[in-house]
Amino acid sequence: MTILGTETTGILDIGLEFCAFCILVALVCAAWRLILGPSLADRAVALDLISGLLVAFLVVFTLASGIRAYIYAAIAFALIGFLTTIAFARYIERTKGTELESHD
Amino acid sequence: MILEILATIFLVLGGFFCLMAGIGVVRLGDIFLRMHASTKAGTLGIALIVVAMMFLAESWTELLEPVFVFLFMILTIPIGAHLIGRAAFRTRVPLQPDTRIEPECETFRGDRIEGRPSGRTSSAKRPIPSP
Repeated sequence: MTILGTETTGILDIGLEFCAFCILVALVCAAWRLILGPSLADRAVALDLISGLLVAFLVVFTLASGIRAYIYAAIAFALIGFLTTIAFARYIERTKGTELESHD
Repeated sequence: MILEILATIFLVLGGFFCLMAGIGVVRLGDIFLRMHASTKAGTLGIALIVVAMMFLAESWTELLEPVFVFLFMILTIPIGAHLIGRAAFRTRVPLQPDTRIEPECETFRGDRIEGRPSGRTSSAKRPIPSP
């Protein structure tokens, strides 16, 4: 049972498996905060962390599988995640913030 | 072989810091503390993982792709965290009881209170000049 679906032969593969496991646990933690977060800004922070962790996981998967196309997806996702964060921050800043929490 | 061992060390360290970021986002009690965990530890973890990929590059073009990811992440994550933190500060997100705001910041914090003119809100209500 491996996380990345590749056989573990050397020390590098074991390191990749450990790294993928840590990133997956961190993704579950960030998703928990995304569901639970009391305010809108907490959810924006969790989404920011999720986008960064997905970029890291794409890099790890590129190393594990040897398919070079995933690193281009990581480059694109880094930029898209930044635009998402900026859009959420502008949206939070324009709302009052307290009105949204009373509905939750 | 030495490059593989170096890359493994960087991968394990990066995974550890990513895990710390995730645990910090769940366990800490305030939005600014959570942001402290997610941006600092998360940026360090992602950067370490990308540096591990740089060690394993076999040609110049393969080296250039992780450099792009590294530059994007290092440049964009602090800016995004700054924007979210400023938005949370201005919308008066409820804080932990232990978290204290400096007294000089109170006027800035009460910027949205009605009946108190300030430069920020008046400039926001200014009509947009037509081109």
